[in-house]
Formats: sequence, C-alpha cells, structure tokens
Amino acid sequence: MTDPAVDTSPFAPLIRRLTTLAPRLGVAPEEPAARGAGPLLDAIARRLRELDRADGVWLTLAVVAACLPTADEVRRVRRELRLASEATAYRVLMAATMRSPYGFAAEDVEVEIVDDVVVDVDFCARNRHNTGIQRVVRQTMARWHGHRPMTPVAWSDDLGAFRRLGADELQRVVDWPGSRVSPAPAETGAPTRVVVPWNTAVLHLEVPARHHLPGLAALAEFSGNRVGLIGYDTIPIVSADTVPIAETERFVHYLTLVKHSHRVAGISDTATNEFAGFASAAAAQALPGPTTVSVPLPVDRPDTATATGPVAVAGADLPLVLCVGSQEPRKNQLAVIAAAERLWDAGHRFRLRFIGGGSASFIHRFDEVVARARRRGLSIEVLRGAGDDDLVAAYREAAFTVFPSLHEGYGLPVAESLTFGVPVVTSDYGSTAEIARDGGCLLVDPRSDDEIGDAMERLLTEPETLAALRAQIAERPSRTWDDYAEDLWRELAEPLRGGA
Amino acid sequence: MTTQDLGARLGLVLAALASEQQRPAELPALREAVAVTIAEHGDSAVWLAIAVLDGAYPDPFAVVEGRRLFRRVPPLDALRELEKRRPRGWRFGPDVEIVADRVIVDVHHTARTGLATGIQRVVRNTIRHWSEEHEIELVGWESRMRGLRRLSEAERRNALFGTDPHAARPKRPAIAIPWRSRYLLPELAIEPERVPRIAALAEFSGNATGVIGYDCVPLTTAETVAEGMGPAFSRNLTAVSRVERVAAISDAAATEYAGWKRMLAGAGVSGPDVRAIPLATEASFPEGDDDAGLDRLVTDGLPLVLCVGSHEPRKNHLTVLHGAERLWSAGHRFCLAFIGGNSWNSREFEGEVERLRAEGRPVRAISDVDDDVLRAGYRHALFTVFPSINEGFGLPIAESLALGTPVVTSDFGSMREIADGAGGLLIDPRDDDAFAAGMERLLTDADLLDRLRAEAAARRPRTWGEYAADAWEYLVESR
Amino acid sequence: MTATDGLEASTVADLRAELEGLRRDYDELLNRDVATWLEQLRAEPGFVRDYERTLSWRITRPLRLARAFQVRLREDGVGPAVGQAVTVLKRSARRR
Repeated sequence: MTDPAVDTSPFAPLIRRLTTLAPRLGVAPEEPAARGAGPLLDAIARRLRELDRADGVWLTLAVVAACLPTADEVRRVRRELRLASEATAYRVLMAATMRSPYGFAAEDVEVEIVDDVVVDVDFCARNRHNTGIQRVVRQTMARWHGHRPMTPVAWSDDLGAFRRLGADELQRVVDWPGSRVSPAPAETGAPTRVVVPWNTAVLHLEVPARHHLPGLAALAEFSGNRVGLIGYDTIPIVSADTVPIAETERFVHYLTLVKHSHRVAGISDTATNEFAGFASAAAAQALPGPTTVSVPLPVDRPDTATATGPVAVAGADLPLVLCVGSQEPRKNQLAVIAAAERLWDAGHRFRLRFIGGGSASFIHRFDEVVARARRRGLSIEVLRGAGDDDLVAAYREAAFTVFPSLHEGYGLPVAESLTFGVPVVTSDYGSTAEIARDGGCLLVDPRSDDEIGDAMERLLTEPETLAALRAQIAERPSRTWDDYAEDLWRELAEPLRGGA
Repeated sequence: MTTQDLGARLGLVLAALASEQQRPAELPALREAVAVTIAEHGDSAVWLAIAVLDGAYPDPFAVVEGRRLFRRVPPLDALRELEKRRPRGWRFGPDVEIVADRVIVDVHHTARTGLATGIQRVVRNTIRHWSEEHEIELVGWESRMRGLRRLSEAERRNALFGTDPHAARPKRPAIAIPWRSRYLLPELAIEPERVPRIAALAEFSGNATGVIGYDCVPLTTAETVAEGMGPAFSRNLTAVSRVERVAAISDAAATEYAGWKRMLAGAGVSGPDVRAIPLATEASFPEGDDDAGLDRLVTDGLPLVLCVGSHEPRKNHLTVLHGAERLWSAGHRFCLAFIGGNSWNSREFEGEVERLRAEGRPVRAISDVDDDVLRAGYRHALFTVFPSINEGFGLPIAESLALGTPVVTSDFGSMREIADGAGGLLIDPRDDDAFAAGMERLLTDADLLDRLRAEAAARRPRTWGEYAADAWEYLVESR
Repeated sequence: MTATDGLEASTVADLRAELEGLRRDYDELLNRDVATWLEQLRAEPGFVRDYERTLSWRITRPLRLARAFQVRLREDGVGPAVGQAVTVLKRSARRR
C-alpha cells in the first residue's frame, strides 16, 4: 500500500486530493486508494450521488479541480449525478473537470480543506494602496493576527481559488508599517497552496474583484460555509451617476454575493441600513438575505501621524479652512467654493485649502471654478498627491474643516479632523451625522450653499463657538481600532463560526 | 435652423413665469424683466430658462450651477451668463414650445417599435385606455435626445396600436418643454443621453412626475443580466429617485423598489412613493384556429407540456429540461415544447435541447411564432410550466390561465400572486425534486388537473381597463 | 460436515475467487479510465490559453462597433451613422 504523500506515480496528485476530500463526504479513503485512483474516484462519486447535496458537489469540484466552481457548474454536476447510474457517476466528475477552463493544469498544487475562519484579504495582500477600505482591513488584521483562529487568504488568478499568503504578503496585511520599509520582495517561486473552506465562516473584508465574484457567490449559495462581509456602502448603486460604469458593473455582481451571504457588518448605521434595504428587496426572490448588524468604525487618525494639537504657522494671519477628500461631484467641493465666494464678497478673509486627488472627469470643471474664484481675490490652494506629512500639517494649522459630502458610507475625513481636535462642518444626514452625534461638528444641508456658508461664517467670526466645539471634541468618547477589531470578531466572525 | 431668436425665447420664459406681465418690446427691458422673474421663482424657473434658451433640457449639474449664478451675481448678469453658456449650435437647433398644464406621457420606444415585448404590451394597453378617457399628450424624444417632442400622427397611431413601426417622424419637431404639467414615464429609459435630463426634470422643473416600475432585476439578480445593464439601470434609478410616484406592477416589484428606496437615505434622498398597481391578467388573444401551428409544437401526438418565455438564465429553463428528462427516464409519456422570443446566454440550454433530441426525447424549441400559434399552444397543452427565479410579473402565467390551462410555477413573488388559487401549482423553482414532482402530479393526477382548470375558469381576470384606471388614479389623481 | 457441505464450500470459494477477479477487473477498468482522463487533461495545455483568448476584448470590440453602426444606421440614417463610425475610428487611431 503506497503512502499518498510520497507516491510519485502519475496518479499521486489526484489520489492526494481525493484522499483529502473523501472523509468530508463520509468515505474512508484508505481501502479504495490502495486499489488505485479509479476505485477511489468511483467510491467518492457513488457517495456524492447518494447524498444528492449541493454542498458535497461544491466541495468535490473545488478540491478535485483546485478551482471554485460557479453556480451553473454546481447545478449542472448535481443534475448529471442524479441522472447517471451508480456505476457511471465517476464519469460525471471527469466530464466536469474537462469543462472547467482551468482543466487540471494545476495538479501539483496542494489543496487543503480548512475549517478555521477563512478571511479574504486579497487586495491588501497584493497591493501597496492604503486608503479607505485597505486601512480598515490592515488595522483589523493586525489585531486579529496571532490572537484569533483564522486563515487569511488571497486569490490565485491562475487557478480561480483561494490560496495561502506568502510571507511578504502576510506582512503587507498584518504589519503595514513594517512592510513599507521592507525592500520589494523577490519572486520566491513558492508553490501555491490552495485553501478550500469547509463548514466554517468565510469573511470578505474587502469588496472582491469582478472576476472573483462568480466563484465567491457560488461558495455563498452552495458550499454550506457561512459568509460574512464588512458592508462599506452602496454608493455605486445609489449614487451611480457619480461613479464610473465599471465600478457599478462590479458592484451589482458584488450584490449577488451579498444576497447569498449570511451576515453583513456595516461600518455605520447608515451603511448597515443600505444593506438591510437591499436584503429586504431580496425577499421578492424568496431569499432571506443576510442579517445586518452595525459595527461602526473608530474615529482614528492616519496611521503615521504621531503629533497632535494645533500649530501656528509663522506669517499666516488668516485662518485656514481645510477641505479634505478626493475631488469628485459626490464630495460637493463646488458648494464649498460657492459658499466661500459669498463670504469673501461679504468681507470675510480666510485661506481655503483642498487636499486630495481628483477624479479625471471632474478636475477640469473643478479647476475652472477655482480659477474663477481666484480671479475674484480668494486665496485657494489645491494640493493633489499630498503625502501624510502635508495632511497632518494642514490639520494642525486649520481653524476648522468642511466636508459637505452628498453620500458617504462612513466619512473618514470627518473622523480624521476630530482626532486632530479640529471642528468640522459636515452633512446633517447619513453616516457623517452619526459621527457628529458625539460632538465637535456643525451640521448643514449639503445641498444648501447658504447653510454651508452660514456655518463657515459662524466659525470664522465666533471664537466662542469654535472653542465650544473644541471642548466637545475633547469630551468625545474614545473608540479605537482595538475596540473595532474586537467588536467585528464578536459580531461577524463568532456568529458564523459555530454553524448555522 | 430655429425660427426663434433670443427675444422670442425670453418672451416664452416670461409668458410662462409671469403671464400677467406685458412683454416689453425692447430686448434690454425684456431681459431685465425675465432675469428678475427667474430670481424670484427659484429652481424651477432656472430649469425652464436653461431649457428654453439652450433648446435642450439641462442635466442636474447645469441647474445647480445656474442656481448658484443667480445667488452670486445680480439677476441680469446671471441671465447673460446663461445666454453665454448656450451650446454653440443652438441657432441651428430646433424651436421650443412650452407645454403647460398637461399630462405628458413619454412613449419614446413604443412609438418606434412594432415589437410586443412585455413592456410594450403594458404601455399600449394602458395608453389606449388613457387616451380614450383623458386628455393626454403622447411624446417621444428628439433624435439627439435633447428633449421631448410631440409625436407625429403616424407615430401616435403606432404607439397606440403597433401597426406602423416605421412611422415617419416629424421633420423638425419643436422641443416640448413641460411646465406646471405632469410627466409620466411608463417605459424603461436607460440611454445615457436622456437619463440625466429626466433626473433634472424630476428634481428641479416643478412638474409632477410618475413612472411605472417593472422590476429591479439588474440590481437584485445581476447574475442573470447582460453586461452594461447594471450600470445603465442604476443610473435610471437615480432619475427615478427624484420622481414622485412609482406604480409597481406587482407586490414583488413593489418589494424590490421599496428595498431600493430604503438605500437612498444615505444620500439624503427620500425617494418616491411606491405602490403596487397589479397588471391586468386578461389575455389579449384574438379568437383563432385552435390547431394553428400545432405540428410545430407537438411530437408524436403526445400530451403537450408547454414552456413560454425568452431563453435566459432567469427563466430557469434548465430546471424544466432536467425535470422532463427525469420523468421520461421513469417512463412518463409526454412531449415538451419551448416557445421563446429573445435569447441571451442560452448556450447551455441550446446544448441540452440538442443532446435530448439526439437521444430521441420528444422536445422542441421554437421562436418567432404568431399570436395564433401561441394561443393554440396554450389551449392544447395539458399544462404549462414557468419556474422563473425572479419576475416583475410573468405574462405567460397570466396568458396560460386566461386560456384555461393550468401552470406549474414558482411559489413566491409575482408568480404566486397571479397563479395562487387561480389554476397554478406552486413549487420551489430552485428545488429540482419539487419541480419534477409538480410536473409528475399534473401528468398523473387527472382530478388535480381538473380542479386547477376549474380554478382558472372561475377566476375573473383583471382587465386592462381596470389597470389603466387604477394606474391613472394613483399617478395622476391621488395626493 | 457432509459431502454436499464440501461441495458448497468449494462453490463458495470459487464464487469468492470469481468475485475477487471481477472486482480486480473492474478496478483496472476504472484506473484505465482515470489514466485516459488525466492524459487528456495534461495534453491540452493550449485549452486554457485558447479559452482566455476568446474572452479578450480585442475580439469583441469590432463586433461592438459593427453593432453600434447598425443601430445608428437604423435610427438616424446613413449620415449620422457614418459620422459616428468615423469619429470612433479616428479616436482609436489616435490612441494607437
């Protein structure tokens, strides 16, 4: 009897995979494996046909092909098994892998079935981008790593499946500051290790890439694993007119994953409500949709900022009004400029600074409006591609910030401003209003230039108001990333770990 | 080349905003009067002024910027700036006319097509009744989607009856600008050129607005929809988010719209009122030959099971094929026929039909049938099947039952609404066992079949007249 | 033990041996089937590449262009349709 682990015959890779798979279906593999790959495949196929369960079919396809099957593939194989006889069931499985676009090209790839919590952090593992979503993922994973029983995974584009992270990838996820100073990693050529979750929780902490979604949606629908998501926002749907078409296209396919998933932890009450609204629409298809729960992000500063407190800049006697955020229609910067123009005409004097990248289709318009305002005498500065140091310096110098965004899932610039002790003028609905609840903000209707201007005027002319807001900020209850990571594990991972 | 110079256009604006005012003869005085009136009126006047001056409806951004202008500088300067912002070719564009105090119904697609898809059937039947009972203005969009325009007589006839899909368009129609009117959209509008214009009309123009809501499938079931439809539909919904009322065609459709509406709060938008106004269930087949085209549907004189519907994944035809194959393997004797119109992403379905036919199974798939063949098929069939996984309505169910033939269909959503207790056998369409069992029951249980036929015969169908009246009541009359 | 028991015993032994033989034959058939299957999978490395090629946007773009031309032709006539086609082709020539 050959040991599957060391057997080097041409059947060995297949036997290894089938041996991994068999016990999960209630088949003892040793005896058939001793007779060869054929009898082992036959035993598994007969059992699969007898079980007639979608999750068994899903697991078999995932393990044998090292590729997450689509919903169509799962349904098709299940139907073929039902129509096949006991004796021909194994041919159904062979035909299934022939149809897969990936074939069996990856036969030397090791496939592991994992019953830890599987955490999908693909983008953060493979990219050095670090805004918004990536910050949430990295802060959370840094705290879960080593303390929570979990298996972080990335995606293998070659195979169409989850895989374990390389050492450098892991560092990029759980030790972002450290990875930034590490030299760029050389190609290691380490073999891919495919991970197939089984009877466990699968958490997507990011919004997966478009081409991952069919396999991930099928996992949510058929595999029996319990899928949890962080719910950031539904801006590509609700404010579709403000985002590129490709983003909405990806997002509607993300919604297919959402409707089959089990739990969504929204980053604010507003975001949670958006996902709850979508879940209620799914009732029209007799789908339960996910349970939604609010796990609000903490109010915390940029990772690299250490200094706090305001700092006076020599030679600048005019107060600095700061506007942080990417320049795009949804962030509503044109309203800030319109309000600023009115104040300038009324004799108020200040400096206005915009920090943030611009969306290509919008900056032309934005720059035109800025140029026109400058011609009327306003002092406006626009910093694109500013580093963290410029940002921190601006916060420390600013009298207040203005963020009248039309639609946010959270509103990072509001939270950032508050961590620097700088009062904020922001929108009176949605997630920004939630952050404002604990003090330090003036709330306005962002669609009213007048209200924005009035609030700015108050903060320019009423030092007692400014002081009162600063005092409120100091009194705000503290919520840290430690709190968030703990809450997220408790609200998202724990309920999904133990079984339906 | 427009016949209306600047003075004529400004005159139109003044007449609409302040009809009691005497129109000044000289341009400077006219300008002054119009500028002041716009500043007094607010958003809707800004929308109107831009539409009239440009000869094209503005998008939301243009209205917001125009409004800012009137706040920032004296009215006269603002008006001059609007004049400066007119598109370069406005002089070569069409005339404009203001349509005030009317009910305007946008039937752009229906006016140009003979196709009787689900949506076109709804629109045609509805506007036929509306135009008989009420004064309505049927409109389409100008060829460059700059704005609405009245239909020619031939287009109007085609919109109502579908008899003249190549109806000649008016040569140089004027852009029709609604004012203090009601704009109703009973179709689906997704062209990128006109959606922002509809959005701005709904949000700023002051006109009352309403749409018929068919479903939100591109959001809720995106895996069954072609690339590009998700974004196009989502942008359509941003326009619908500013509309006052959505008449959803079923409770299920209303559920989808209500769920979407809940998502709007994060953008500070309250969204439209949503109500289910269920479609008619009466069949509109003319009397015909009961045997028409049966040779194309029936195999070997076997009892016929019929499945009507486009070949796309959402209709779930693979479940039908699988159930039939199981039953044939078990010895049941019947033939299966699919009547499909369009097909999309249907390669697996077509492959399976081919395989089954090669194995000698009695199955056919045809498309491109006349109404009389369709009607004959419904009447001849033992029963029909329709296990769709998401429908706004489900016309083939209503048609089957209206002609007295029971249907095996899904136990949720609009399908349940139409078929429950009216001759339908309801099953879970995601469960192969349940579907096959449902088919088997109707193949073997003659009593059940008779019971369902009796239910179908006893149910009084909802007529198009009733639907049109209810939709009018909700969209036009209710407050 | 009788003479007939002995006969049954040898029959049972024969049957058992035949059964073992059949089982081995069956296993061999299964293994041979699997071997053929693996061979086919390994012998088609081009399959993935060919499949990927059919998904390339460079193949679908001309089809998209043709369709857009058709639609425009039908809706607005020859002039605008040709105009649109020229614009698109100019744009893509510039990009190259």
